[in-house]
This record gives sequence, C-alpha cells and structure tokens, in this order.
Amino acid sequence: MSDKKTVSPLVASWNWFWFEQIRPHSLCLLRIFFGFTLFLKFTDATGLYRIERITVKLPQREAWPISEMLNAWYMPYPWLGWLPAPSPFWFARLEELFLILSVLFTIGLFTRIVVPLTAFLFTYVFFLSQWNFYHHMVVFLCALWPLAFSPCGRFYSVDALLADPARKRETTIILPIRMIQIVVCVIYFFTFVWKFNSGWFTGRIMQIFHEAGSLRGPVGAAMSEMMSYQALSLGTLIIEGLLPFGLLFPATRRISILFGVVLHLVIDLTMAVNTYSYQMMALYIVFIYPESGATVALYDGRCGMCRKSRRWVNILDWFRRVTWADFRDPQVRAMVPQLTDDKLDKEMVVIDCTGKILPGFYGWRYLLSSFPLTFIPSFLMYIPPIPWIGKWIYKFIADRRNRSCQLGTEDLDPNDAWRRTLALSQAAPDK
Amino acid sequence: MREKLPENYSRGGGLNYEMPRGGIFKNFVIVIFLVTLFGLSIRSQIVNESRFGWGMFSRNIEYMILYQWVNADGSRTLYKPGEELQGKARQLLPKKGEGREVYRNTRYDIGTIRRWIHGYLGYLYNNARPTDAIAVEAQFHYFLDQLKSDPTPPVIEVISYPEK
Repeated sequence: MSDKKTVSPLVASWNWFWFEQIRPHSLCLLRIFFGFTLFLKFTDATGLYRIERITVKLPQREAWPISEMLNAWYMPYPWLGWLPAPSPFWFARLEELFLILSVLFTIGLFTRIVVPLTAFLFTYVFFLSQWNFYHHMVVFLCALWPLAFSPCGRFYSVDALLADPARKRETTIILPIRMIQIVVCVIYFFTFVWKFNSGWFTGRIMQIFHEAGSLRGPVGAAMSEMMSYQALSLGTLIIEGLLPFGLLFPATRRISILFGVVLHLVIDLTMAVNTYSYQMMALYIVFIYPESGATVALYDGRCGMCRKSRRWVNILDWFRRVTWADFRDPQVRAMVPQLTDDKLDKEMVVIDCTGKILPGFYGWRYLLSSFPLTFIPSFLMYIPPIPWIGKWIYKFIADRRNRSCQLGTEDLDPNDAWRRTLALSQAAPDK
Repeated sequence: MREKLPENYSRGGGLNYEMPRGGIFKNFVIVIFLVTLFGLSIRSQIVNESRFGWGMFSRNIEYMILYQWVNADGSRTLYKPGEELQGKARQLLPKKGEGREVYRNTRYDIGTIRRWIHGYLGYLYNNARPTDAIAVEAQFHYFLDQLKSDPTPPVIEVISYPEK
C-alpha cells in the first residue's frame, strides 16, 4: 500500500521513529555478535571469572537445567499443554541442532531460514520448559524475533557473498532496531526498579552474595576486599538507573555504552550469569549508526604514514564504521569547501555521522572510541591533561610526516554513506 | 539513523508522508510489542515474580521445602522428592549426610519460587499421587535478604495443590 497523505507532526514523528528507511548494516553486525553469544550458550564457554577453566563442549549437555528436568517433569503453560514435549532423546537432538544453527546464524548462511527457525525452536523449548525462568533466555527471545523478520543476512554474511550485489543497495525499515533498542532500555529500567530496595541501598545484598559465595574468581575476591559492599551495590544501581535514559539520547549514548560495557564485564568477571553479559553487550550494537562507513576520515593520499595508519585502523574497525577518503580526490574535495587546503594538509580530519568535524587529535579520539577493542581506553583521552598532551603529540608527528610517498587513491562508492556525511558537514560546527 | 526528526517533518502543521507498505499491520505489531513488553514488566512487579520482568538479583532468598501428601483422613505423609528428578534437579536435592533440611539460594524473588513450587506440586499430583492422597503440600521455609549472622527465624508458607 503506497498511500501519500498529509499527517500531523505527531504521526510523522511516530512513522519516522519506527519506519525510517535505512541500510541495515548494524542489524547484520548484531546477527554476528548475538549469534556468537548463542554459540557460547550452547557450548558453555562462558564466565570470565573462571577463564582459566573454560572448556568448549560440543554440544554441552549439563548447563541446560531443563534438559535434565525434562527427563522427568516440566511445567508447560496450561494453554500450551497441547504442544508435544520433546523426549530426552529428541531434546538431545535439539541441542545439537541449536549448536549447528548458532554457527550458521553467526556466519550468515541461509539466514532467511536459519534465523526464523532458530527463533521458532527457541520459543518452543522456552515455553515448554523452565527456560522461561531464566532472564538471559528471555533476552535471547526478545532479540531473535526482530532479527527473524529483518534482512540481517544482507551484509557481512556468506549469503551476502552469494547474493546479487544490487540487493545491498536496498533499504529497509528501522523497526527491528527500534524494537531491540526499547527492549534494552526496558531491561535496564525494570532491573533498576526491582533493585530499588533497602538491600541494595545499604549494600547488604552484596554482603549476602559474598557470604553465599556468589562473588567468584580473583576479581570477585579482590573487589569484596577493596570496595565497600555499599559502594558496589550503589554503583550498580546508579549505572542501571541511568542507562535506559543515557542510551535513549544520542548525546549520552557513547558514555552510557561505556558504563554498560564496564558493568557487564565486571559482572561476568565476578558472577556466574551465563551469557547474559555478552548478550547485553552485543545488543549495544543497535545503538550505533545503522549504516557502515558513515564516519569519514579525510586523509592525505600522498602521505605514507597516513596510509599505514589507515591499515591499522581498518584492522580495528570491526564494525566498518569508517570510510577513508583522500582529500586530494577532486570529488571529495568539492564536498568539503568549508575546510581549507592548509587545514587538511596539516592534520587528518574526521567527520562523524552527524556531519560534525573533528580535526587531528579529536578525530583520532573519536575513531578509537568507535572500535570495540579501543572503546574503553579511548575514554582516557578525555581526562585532562591528556587532550592537551595528545594535541601536542599529534602536531609533533603531523609536522614531521613524510609527504614524498605518492599513493593511489581509493575508489569510493558514489552512493555510500560518506557522501551524505560530507554533505551534512557543510552545515555542522567545527570542533 | 538521523538523531532527530528532519525539519521538513514538522513544518506547517502537516506534511506529506508516504506510509510504509503494510503500515497498518506494522503499527499493530508495534502496539502488541509495546503492550507485551511493558505489561509483562509491570505484572512481574505486581505479583513479585521476576519472570519476564527483569527482576534478577533484586533479592536473595535462602529456602528449604518439605513436601507432604494430604490424605483423605486429614493426615500428612512426608514425601521425599528425588525418584522423579534427574540431572541438575537431582543435584539440588540434599546430599548424603546433609539431612533433609538443606537451604538453597535463589535470586528470582519470592513470587517466582512460589510459581516454581506450584508447578512441581502440579506434576507430583498428576503423576505420582498415592491412591489415598487428596492433595499435595509444600512447606516453604525462607529467609529474605538475610545475613547468616542474623538470628531471625525463617518465614514459613504452605503451598497446596490443588489450591484450597
């Protein structure tokens, strides 16, 4: 139905929020990372607190409590009583099937069948067993269904290698991303509400966890010795309370993701929470700009050092955030008339997906905060006097770089996100 | 993803907007999604059951459960679970020498464990009921957020199947 009509701003906002047309790179990245958490689930390779003892079981049988419980009894919902429950034999076959599906899911082979089938089978076992008591299982469910109805295999998949390249130009609605964004915010909000009790305010709950042996591993032991129980519980409470709002607003999103990642790493280093921490960290991908290559790094194509830097950065750029554009390329140069030759010659300029211009040190800091491996350390570059020292070091190196190396320019895709970013930058403020 | 609504969307009190294909169905899905997500989360708060409500680790409950058959004459027969349990469920039973009254931990709040017990009682009643039993009961002893040094006695609840 294609019906052009005039609607109120409220309806337009609603439609824009849920139905904006995008190219779904971030959904495809989510498929990879979330698929990997599925793989971890079905092999029991989880728990940083026991990192030296982790073994991969193909498939693992014991960590699914319900698999054994199903041998004897289970608790189907009355309205699902008509569904046939798998016998222990078939449950074991299902485990093996899930393991295979998680691999196909991650690499993106037969995605159109594999992702819905995984979601369907997962839901079947979820409602027929005690899986529905486990929160990380609910998180799987909440993410699997939006992925099942999205083109999450269009990029970064084996399917993408086999498919018609023209399909990559097609756009899709943002709906699955929005759904998962809301799920993540709701999880944090209600987790916070649940913990809004005296046990968490006073730190008593952490003391109980410690007494019960729930704070595990060397980090758990060190934390319970070095920090007060109240500091630990209040810290958790504050982060979980702020995250839903911080993630919601673009201005606070990066710092919120930082706190979220740190929180989940600490939880996984100190407690047995199965795949929950990895799932939540993977889900943060829905908060990044959906289209890859929308951050533009304008570099000097004559500079050998710039070329080397680009190579290193590309290794770190797992989410394919950055498009490298030689500012000496006439079509690129024409799109950034607000930047002078002198400025571009002196330092590398990064333009973020909103069109904001970040020169030199600020550009590098932004790039490093866009890559998974350098994401956490990059925030140290905000702490004084590191920005001041960083700018000085950047200038020192930039002034001494070798410009004699003549290199060919990259072929830029004329329809890619970089073009829109450069257009946006013409109206955006300089750093 | 633009981070704010494009300007032309809000100009002049109205605008031209092309509805996505299947817009009505998609809007219906969105409404169902939001109602389910928020509805289940709020329900879990009301019934104190963390399932689907993201209440993990909110409280610590140490609990112990004693099961008994309620006979037609009103007498009780203690029932030791175990024969029907396997794997991890069996591992959670008291080990040799631990006696019957072994406390376990959960962080899924009190409503969840009540539901869990109720489900198990339902299974017992329908699959392992002695001929003269008319119901099955669980004595649920628990400490809520209690340190080991705290001398307060446990709270005791009785959960029956079928419910009285």
